Amino acid sequence: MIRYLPHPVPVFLFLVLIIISGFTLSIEVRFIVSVMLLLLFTFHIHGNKILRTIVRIVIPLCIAIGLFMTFIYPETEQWLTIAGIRLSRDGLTAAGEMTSRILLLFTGIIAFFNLITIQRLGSYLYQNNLPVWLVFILINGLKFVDRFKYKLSEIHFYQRLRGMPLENIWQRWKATVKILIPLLYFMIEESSNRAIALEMRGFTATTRRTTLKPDRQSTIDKIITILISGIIIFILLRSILL
Amino acid sequence: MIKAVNLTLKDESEKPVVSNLSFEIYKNDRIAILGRKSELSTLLCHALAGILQRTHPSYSVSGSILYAGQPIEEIDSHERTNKIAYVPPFADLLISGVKDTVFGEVALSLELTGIERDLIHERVNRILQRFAIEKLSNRDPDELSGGERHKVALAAMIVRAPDVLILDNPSMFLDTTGVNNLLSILRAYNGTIIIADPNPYIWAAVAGRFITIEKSGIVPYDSPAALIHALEKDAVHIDVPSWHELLLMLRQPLIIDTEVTSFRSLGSLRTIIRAMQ
Amino acid sequence: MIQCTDLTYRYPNGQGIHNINVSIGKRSMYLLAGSNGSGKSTLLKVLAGGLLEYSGTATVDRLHIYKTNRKKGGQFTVALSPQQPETQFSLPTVRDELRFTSKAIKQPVDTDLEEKIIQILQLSEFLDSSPFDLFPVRRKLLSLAIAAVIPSPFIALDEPTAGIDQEHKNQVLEFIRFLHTQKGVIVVSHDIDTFLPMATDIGIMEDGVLVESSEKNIFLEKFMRGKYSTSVRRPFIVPRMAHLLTNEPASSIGELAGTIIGTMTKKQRK
Repeated sequence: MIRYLPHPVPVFLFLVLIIISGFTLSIEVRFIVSVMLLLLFTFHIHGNKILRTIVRIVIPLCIAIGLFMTFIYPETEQWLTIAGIRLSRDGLTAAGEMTSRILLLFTGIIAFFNLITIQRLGSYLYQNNLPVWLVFILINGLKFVDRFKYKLSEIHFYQRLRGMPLENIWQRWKATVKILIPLLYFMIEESSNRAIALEMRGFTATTRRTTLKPDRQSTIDKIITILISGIIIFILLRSILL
Repeated sequence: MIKAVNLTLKDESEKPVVSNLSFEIYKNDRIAILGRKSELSTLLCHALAGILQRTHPSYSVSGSILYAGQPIEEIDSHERTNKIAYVPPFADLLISGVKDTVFGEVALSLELTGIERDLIHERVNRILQRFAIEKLSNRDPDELSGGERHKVALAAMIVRAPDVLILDNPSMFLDTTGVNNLLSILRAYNGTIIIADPNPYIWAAVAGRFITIEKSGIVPYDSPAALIHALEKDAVHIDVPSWHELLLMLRQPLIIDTEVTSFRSLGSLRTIIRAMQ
Repeated sequence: MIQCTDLTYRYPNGQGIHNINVSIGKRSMYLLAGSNGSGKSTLLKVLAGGLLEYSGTATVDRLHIYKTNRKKGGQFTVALSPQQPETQFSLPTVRDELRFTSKAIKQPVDTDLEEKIIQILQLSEFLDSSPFDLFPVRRKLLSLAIAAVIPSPFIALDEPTAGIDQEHKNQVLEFIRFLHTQKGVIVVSHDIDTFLPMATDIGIMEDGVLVESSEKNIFLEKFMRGKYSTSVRRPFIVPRMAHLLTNEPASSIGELAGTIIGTMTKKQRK
């Protein structure tokens, strides 16, 4: 298990690289990069969980889109016929184009969020003089899904505890309103109380501020930053020149 | 320092909850708000912190609360929060989650005021030690238990050393060690403290003056002696089940700093038991 | 009764509870104490069937906790009230909230129990108002009432007096005393002063481990002999009585402890 946590700068560059290569690299290279990323995940602490989400969500999505593109693509040149269904070379290329792009972008974004902790991102943004309330909104926006899920499971648990049947989809559907009421209450109540609480913490400050410990790049971070920047420049130059 | 002049608060149904209250709080005062209803003490805390109109928009306010001669709601919010800190009972919400460690979260309070870096380290370390949570300093605040988060939030507020510290029910989720640490911090605190808590132990240990919320209205007492006198004459109608406990504590305050030192003698205990009966 | 052997639950960050061995009798009033973050709430959640990925065994009336989880249609075992009362509020009136459970399991409402609870907690004038219109203190009382009407052999209360003001504290204590006549009660609280007199058993947790679990008398005796390290004693030190117990010779302490507990109980009954 690797416990290296990269600095936000190389991680950001990595994301840029993924997005750029999603648009410039050839299909084969995109697939290869995606597979390499997937392999990298196996070294990650939560590798299994990440791979599971990819297998469950991203890959079925790719297959669906791939099939859709292959068969729906306006016919130009007939290439193959299987059981009466005609395939075209262009359709297949377009499908490959699309799926490889999706796979790469999704794995890239998932990798991005697993390479960096949200709070470290927050600390870095704060250090670079973003107003603290904006940092707060960004960070809590990113954490929102997790908090929502947590609150929802909490409500489910306590409602079930007092006898609310939530075993199958039909029962869950019937209970939607009863689950939503407390959930909405918490969302509203929390946001209004939060505003006051954060004002009390001094978040409205506009005066000069200090940063505790500047998050500086380590040597490895610097090397990675240079490497990724190099690759980005190379890709950009190549696509411009060719 | 803080002065309430003819303060009257009416709720939605125009029923006065606070009527014609006037009192003055001086620098370095220690004031306990005691009473039977936590709603009312919370209301009073909000009024003193200048946030009443936002937390209870349906209440109508007449009279005024002045801070250094200026109506409190008119002071610029940033300036006000620098001078007056209000710690709500669910202090949990004070934790912003912007930083990934407890140390960072507490330090954020000071970073925002622009204090030098070395000083931040020193002050944060000191407050964490005094709350006995230095071993949490590298933990993620989101992964702490409720009581631990409460301590972190208190530390984050107190570390800024505001002129006026208003604590609303601070002992709610704290363990005994936490309460003791909080009390020893408050006793050494250089500033005004206003504390509303149902725990008589806290009143007796910290407060020098009292504001009681009684059935008839809100009554300020200027010293423990005045309150003792009133309690003995049975003139305090706060209907607190533990008021005689309070009386005992006011008479013989315990020494709390690290651990309770002594209860003097068996004899004094017997007197107490008799008093309790 | 509740029986746990080597009960362990770990959160992803490694915190949690470790090797809990405890048995809680049918009619006991178990006071669980310990410092913040020592795992008391986690233990309650496991017992109530909220955290199922535990190891070791935990049974309530011989039923394994994971089998009692309502998700799988199990029966009620340990009722637990949430720390934030609003978690359960989803119906138009307070009365609806109180009758929710019996409606959900299609059983007739136990009106005697309901009435008694309403009377103790003095909720009668709010029965037709929306739970969200109540003051925070009464919301807390309502959430205690909701847990109490669940027909389970045990009820667990996490900090029942937190956020309760003096005016309502007596009601909560009376409520707990009443529950104790009906079922087994587990109370987690820092307010040892209040709950020690009525407890029958005491457990102390520290860093996720149950370091002590015994009957009150045995516990007090051990305590008096100075068996515990200061860290275990700390939660009991501030309470005036307990401190005293450590400084006095054993014979007079026993007598004194008895007197004090007696007086406290008497005082609270008044």
